[in-house]
Amino acid sequence: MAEADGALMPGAQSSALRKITMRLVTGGEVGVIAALVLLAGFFWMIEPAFMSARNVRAILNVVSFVGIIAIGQTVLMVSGEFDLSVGSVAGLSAVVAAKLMTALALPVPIALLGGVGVGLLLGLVNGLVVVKLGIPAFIQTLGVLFVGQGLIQVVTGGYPVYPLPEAVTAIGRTNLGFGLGWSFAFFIMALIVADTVLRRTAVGRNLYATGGNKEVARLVGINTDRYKIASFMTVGALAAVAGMFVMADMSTATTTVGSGWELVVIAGVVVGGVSLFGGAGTVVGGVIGILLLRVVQSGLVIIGVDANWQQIAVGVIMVLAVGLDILRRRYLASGNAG
Amino acid sequence: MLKFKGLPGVFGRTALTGALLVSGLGLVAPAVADDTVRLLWVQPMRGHPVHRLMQAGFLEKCAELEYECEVVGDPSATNWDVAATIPLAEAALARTEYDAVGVYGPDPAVYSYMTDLAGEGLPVVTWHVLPEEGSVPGLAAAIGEDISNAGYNAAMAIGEQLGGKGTVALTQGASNDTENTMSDAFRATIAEHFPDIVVLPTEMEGFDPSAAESKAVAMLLANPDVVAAFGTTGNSIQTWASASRKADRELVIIGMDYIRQNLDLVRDGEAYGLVAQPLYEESALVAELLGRLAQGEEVDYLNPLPAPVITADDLQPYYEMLDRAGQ
Repeated sequence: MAEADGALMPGAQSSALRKITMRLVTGGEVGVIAALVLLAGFFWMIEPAFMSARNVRAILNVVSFVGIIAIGQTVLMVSGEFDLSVGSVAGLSAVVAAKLMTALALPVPIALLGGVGVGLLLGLVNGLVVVKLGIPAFIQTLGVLFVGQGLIQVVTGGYPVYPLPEAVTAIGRTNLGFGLGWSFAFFIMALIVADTVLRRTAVGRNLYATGGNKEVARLVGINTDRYKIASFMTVGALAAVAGMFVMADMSTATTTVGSGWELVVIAGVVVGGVSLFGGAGTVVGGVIGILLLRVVQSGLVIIGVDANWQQIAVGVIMVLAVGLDILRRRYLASGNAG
Repeated sequence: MLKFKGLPGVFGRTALTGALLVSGLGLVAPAVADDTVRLLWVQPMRGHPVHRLMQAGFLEKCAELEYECEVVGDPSATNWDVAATIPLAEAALARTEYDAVGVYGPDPAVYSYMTDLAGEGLPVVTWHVLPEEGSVPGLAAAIGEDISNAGYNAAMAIGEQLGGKGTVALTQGASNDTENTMSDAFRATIAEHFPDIVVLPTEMEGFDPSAAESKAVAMLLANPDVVAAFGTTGNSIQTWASASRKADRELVIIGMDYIRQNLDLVRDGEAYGLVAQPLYEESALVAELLGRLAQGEEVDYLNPLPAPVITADDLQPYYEMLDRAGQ
């Protein structure tokens, strides 16, 4: 590097700037961030209320619920598996926790731990069956999805658990700032922890290796079984937490908590660049994918797109967002970035 | 055309194409008129056919009263997701200053949202259920049928048709407060008034028509003594009419909801009758009550409407209602 009196020469400055730019452009999340910024800007230009406090708060609030699950799903998908049962796990954990604190009158913290326990247990079951018995994750977790839905009905008798203790309502109603509460705070903390683990620790590297090529990872001494089982348990626990946050937010544990979330979460993280085949993707990217989908849904309402066209528009925009990212990667792979 | 320097031209074209596609999809800019009454309707599972009928009743009444009205909700026709619906309602409220809001109420998960809206000074009305006054803080009015009464009416109609004897199959779309209450009332009425009639354990037929029909056929094959069927969801009458045809069994069938396909089945003799939940009427009343509240009037909290069983001779007024709604 050419230096004179401790300062960079213009040529070296240009090279440094180019390196920073390339690092930004080649970063995994750039494509989906660009799509998010474009869309948000588009909606805002047409209807400034899109960036109003009310709308932004509502989007962040709902993103925090599915985002918590998306964090776990990303970790699992990086390791080479996925979980279709997350919605059912969220719902079952919520109703079990609700029943523990009402029908059994357990203290709220114990009941909530019970809910997390349900998520961990189902995650463990998924992990053991997939890893040890070799049943494909698609089948195992789909089976648990149905089992979970049935257990929700068994536990509740088909009726919502309502009302809940005041302490639960207080958790859901707490305003930590900007109208956002504990669910958002937990979401941010989980995001930071998971992203740090994936990017900067040996655990993260081993997860990528497991998902990238399980056999090679095993040959170099990585206990891939353990990593996968732990990933299933992680997503199970996070799904449970998300379900209970929804329960607290609505002050009721209904039989429909988490219903349909599995596809929303998987679609969101895939849009965010997480590979369905494992070994690629980041937690930040996965979460931004979820945010993108929610931005689209709210944005279409706010700019007044006819209701019948909204779902079509969501599908088209999803494909375009992923398409942008693929085009970017192809451009880079073709050597034009160099 | 915008240029995106340093990136392939296709990037810019793709982005702009996406933007133009969205912008071409029928944007509606709300009119700005200060004395216009603006009402918002919030309903999860917005795409369900029965919910569509409700929305038609609401929007038709809004047009008649010259109100500006909007419908929002998670667009699924089969998936009930309150958490996904609320941000869409918030988006509409962020964009437009509404004068009153109707929130569909058969799930206590929405009660806290109703209370939040009322706390902002918005009059809030719910329909299809009648929560006890004061049980939902801030809720100004509730409109709907007495669900237990609807179950009672269905039970009496089936019991009388069967002459007090026989076995009845009972299905629900899903296990939820409304359908559970209706089923419970049906069973209790049969037990009290027709003790010689047996009601089979409730089966969940779901919302997928082909899967529901398979389950109904299986129930008929497993229970050769079934002579009647009652279903508590809008598709039940189609489920059972189809199943009875496929299993070649004559049944006394009572279903729910006067959407056109269901009326046609009763007209054609493939079903005996249906519980005419006042979907259209209650939804029209939502518009009316919201408008009155928005203009400072007081309204009664409780607004019950009848839900009779209608048969082939009673269909004409309902066809006319559907014609007016364009359904």
